[in-house]
Amino acid sequence: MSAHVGAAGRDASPEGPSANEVGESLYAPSRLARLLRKDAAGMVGLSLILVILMAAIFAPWLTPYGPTEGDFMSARLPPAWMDGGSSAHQLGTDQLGQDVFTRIVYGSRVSLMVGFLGALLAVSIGVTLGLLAGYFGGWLDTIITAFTNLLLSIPYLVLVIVIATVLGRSLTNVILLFGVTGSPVFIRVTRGEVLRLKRLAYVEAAVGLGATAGRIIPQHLLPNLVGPLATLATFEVSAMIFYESGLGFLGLSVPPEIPSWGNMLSLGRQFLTIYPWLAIFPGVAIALTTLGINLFGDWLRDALDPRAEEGS
Amino acid sequence: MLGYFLRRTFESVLLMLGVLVLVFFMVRLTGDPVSLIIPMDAPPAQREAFREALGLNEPLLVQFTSYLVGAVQGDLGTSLRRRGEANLDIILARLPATIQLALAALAFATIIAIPLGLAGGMRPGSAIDTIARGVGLAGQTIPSFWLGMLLIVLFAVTLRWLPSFGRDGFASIILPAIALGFAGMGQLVRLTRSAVLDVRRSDYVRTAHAKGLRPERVSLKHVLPNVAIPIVSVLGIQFTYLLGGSVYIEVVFAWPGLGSLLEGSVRDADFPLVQAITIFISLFAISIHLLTDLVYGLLDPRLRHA
Repeated sequence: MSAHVGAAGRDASPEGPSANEVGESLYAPSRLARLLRKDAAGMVGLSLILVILMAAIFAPWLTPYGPTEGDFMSARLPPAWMDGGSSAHQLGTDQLGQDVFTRIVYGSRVSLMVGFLGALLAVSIGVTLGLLAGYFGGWLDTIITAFTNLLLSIPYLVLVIVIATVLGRSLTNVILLFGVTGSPVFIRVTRGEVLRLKRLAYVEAAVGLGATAGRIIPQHLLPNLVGPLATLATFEVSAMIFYESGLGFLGLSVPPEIPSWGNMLSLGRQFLTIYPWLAIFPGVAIALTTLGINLFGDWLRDALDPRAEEGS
Repeated sequence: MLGYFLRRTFESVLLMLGVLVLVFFMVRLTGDPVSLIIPMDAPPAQREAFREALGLNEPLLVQFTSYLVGAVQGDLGTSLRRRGEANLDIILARLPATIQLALAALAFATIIAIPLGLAGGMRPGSAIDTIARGVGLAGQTIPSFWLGMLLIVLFAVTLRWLPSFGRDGFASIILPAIALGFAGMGQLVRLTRSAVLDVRRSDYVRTAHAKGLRPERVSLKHVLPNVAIPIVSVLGIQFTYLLGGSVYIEVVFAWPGLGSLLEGSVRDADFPLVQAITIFISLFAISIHLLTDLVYGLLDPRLRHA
């Protein structure tokens, strides 16, 4: 392992010597926990993520209604605090009498699945192709780089809309779509890092000693990719949640009967001038989720940067 | 110098050809376009006639060649839903509205973001810096189409100050431009702020302070020109991003541009038009990137050798 924070003392903070012991791993849980406690924004981010994760897991226990359970007798109710609202439906109901809060709670499942599985797929594709391109070079590199540049040259939203139209509406397709279109950035970063690492003395020494790619890649390259890729992947999760809701808004994401924040916004747009709450609350859920992940990502980027001084 | 220009132009042309190939096969993978347009219970003879008329019975390679030859000559096919109308004409008719909206959004973003980022970066930790960071974060987290709907509810429905949809005079562009430019504004604030933080630490800025220049003068004369380089490069990228982002905003505000055209043609399953719009926007974006790079090469000689 080479990812140590030995250089952290380089720009020692004026508050005194760095709390870091030389040689402590960058990924040591105790170090990360200590850094997180000092970072209020990071804590807020993590808390938001945990709340949404809990909502997704424990959805059936959080609300007395089902996500597609409508009651025409209580359709189009405004939120509880407005005139005509009912305390049985805190955030109101839609035109079918479905409880808005319930649908937001269940909608978190779609968003989190697309965000996490999509990012996981993008990282897997990106690391594989980036390693192949960076480590082996040659025509493989030419093809992979051309493919990456090509995908990046089409404006992202347009690319996503066209592919979503081609694939059709299903959760699997949406995850596949974001996994593939999210991969170019991971290919680029992996390839760039591999090209840099390959020239470092310890890797060249390993090659000189006769180590094969099968040993060098997992032993010397992958561990050094974790830092840069973890941060990037975190931001990718929030970007995918963001774009999935946009696709849903256009009616191109998961099928309309599945409660998702994007689908709720799409419905909300149709009733915007008469029942604005239908559009407002799902948007709050999206904004809070991306806020949480971005705050956490900002913290993670600083925490995993071996060159950053601790406590700044 | 000339070599750099030629190389970049050649790369862009290759990329454009790549886009043509990629989009063709992507849209063909839709499956059978006929089944999207003709009802499932239509008689087979009718389906066959339709296929023939669209040239879908030709071998894929023949279809691809005629498509490629057409595209290079500026022929992007004809729309399925509007019989006989050339896709390129439909697109060009919608283009001015989209460019107008994107420029308005960019202007809104720049006017707010650059002074805010500059002020925040010059005084890290101050109240104005907190606002700058807040705006930066808000731009990252608030979805543009949701913001658009909030603006409609507030300014069009509740206060009745501005129109909620359409393209009719200056008042109608205000809300869509804010909604579209908001994310870019956040990114520009973050970028300007961090660029200022970097430049502030440089020797020439320290010297300027040391010789007793007033802080405002240091900002304008020494910091701003050096911060401008990264900002200008991002503006070109921002513009192409806005072209994509305009799909949502044009749908929310019923703005008659390319974005709402794309959304409409996706809904109508007008696959030749979807294909043509995608190609047009991508080629447009590649051209803008090329242009930015060339201007850049003129401004910064180091890039030509990179």
